[in-house]
Amino acid sequence: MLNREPDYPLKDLYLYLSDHCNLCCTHCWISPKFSQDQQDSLSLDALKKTISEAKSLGLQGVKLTGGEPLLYRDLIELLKFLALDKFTISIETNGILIDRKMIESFQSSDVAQISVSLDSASEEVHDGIRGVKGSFHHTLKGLRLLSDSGLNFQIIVTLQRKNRKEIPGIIRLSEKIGAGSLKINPLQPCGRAMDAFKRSNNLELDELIHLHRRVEEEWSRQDNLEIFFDLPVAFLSIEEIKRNGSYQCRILNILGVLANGDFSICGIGQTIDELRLGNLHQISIREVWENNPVLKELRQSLPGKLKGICHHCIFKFQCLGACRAMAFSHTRDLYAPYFLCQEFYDSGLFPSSRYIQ
Amino acid sequence: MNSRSIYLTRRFVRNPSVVYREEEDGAFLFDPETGNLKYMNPSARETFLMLNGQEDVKQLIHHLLELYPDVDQKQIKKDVGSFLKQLEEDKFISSLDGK
Repeated sequence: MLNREPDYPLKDLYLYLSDHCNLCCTHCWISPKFSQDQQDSLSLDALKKTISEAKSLGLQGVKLTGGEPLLYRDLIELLKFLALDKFTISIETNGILIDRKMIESFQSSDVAQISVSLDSASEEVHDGIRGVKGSFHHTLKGLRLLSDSGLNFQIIVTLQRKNRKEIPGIIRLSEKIGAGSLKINPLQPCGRAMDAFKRSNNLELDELIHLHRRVEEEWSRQDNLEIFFDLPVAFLSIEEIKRNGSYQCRILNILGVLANGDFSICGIGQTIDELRLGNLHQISIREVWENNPVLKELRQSLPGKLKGICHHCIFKFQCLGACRAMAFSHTRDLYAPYFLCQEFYDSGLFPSSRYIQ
Repeated sequence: MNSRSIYLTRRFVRNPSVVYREEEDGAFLFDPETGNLKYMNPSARETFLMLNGQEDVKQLIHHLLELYPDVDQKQIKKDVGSFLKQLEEDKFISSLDGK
């Protein structure tokens, strides 16, 4: 029998190991419960079984996220298990719980990238956004441990009105502390961040364009720090596309596993029950990946059924509509235009060379 | 006649269904049927815009040598050859003379 590559390989699993978080950030696109306790709702054995099964579906990478993934009680055991198969492991964390033991575990498991969220170089601003006093100090401690370890780490900042003037400071801090890259994310209207939108804490479109231009023209050419401004590809300069490539919604090649074991389209099932695809205690990952009607429909319909400006964009085959989970969260329609692209288009700010009528 | 001289006598036209989008630092070709998207730097853009079905590749190279007198002739021939081959494979252009 020929070993044939699956048509739609499940390249990555996003494991939402905890639905709790030890911070309470205003911009969180999920709404995890605030807790500093370790969590073990997701059985390690069941997780191992699912990951093993996903290998034959094409699995290459595993992202550990949450809530706060370092609250997961069996994290070190899970990392050991993932290292056995040499998966590309990445972790998204607020960095607070990074200690020497955790660093050793990251090193011995050959973790490829650790992304740490930091929203300001100022303690007051960061702690204000994070909702917990002292969080800046603890995150910085974690970042210093990462820096000393030689592990590859990235700093992620979510742009909002409160920290819009903080970018130069964050760039300087990122360089000083030895981060490999800095990712700048616009605020997403989902989960707890919906409140931030309602309070107009998001940047106006022209502010976003202005800041993006400044980052690109003035700050992006740092010797040891790569800077990614996470805008849809239609807004990136040719130079940026050549340098960093273009982001594509990975919905056709990823699956999320939530803290209670539910499979989900990306992580959006955490906030929207309709996009939960069954639980790993009741259904196999193969069954979900190969036969779930929502996933099958997506494979048939992306990018052809994209609506609004996404339908007309010349990058739609590369971009696949930026983030389908976010589009669904906003509109309950997996083919709705990405909110930011549509807002830019409606405001006459979408680059005219990048869409067709 | 060897294969190289056959190549030099070929004439190409742009596929009419392909969308051409010019930008300050290059241009994009987009085929709405296949989803193929290609970025062209300014010199590739110049080359693409010369494809009108009237002149063959040899004449096209001659024009480019006039435009870029400091660039090595062999290099231009090589670059133009691989650029046109790629465009043809991706169906952004087609040959008027067959292969």
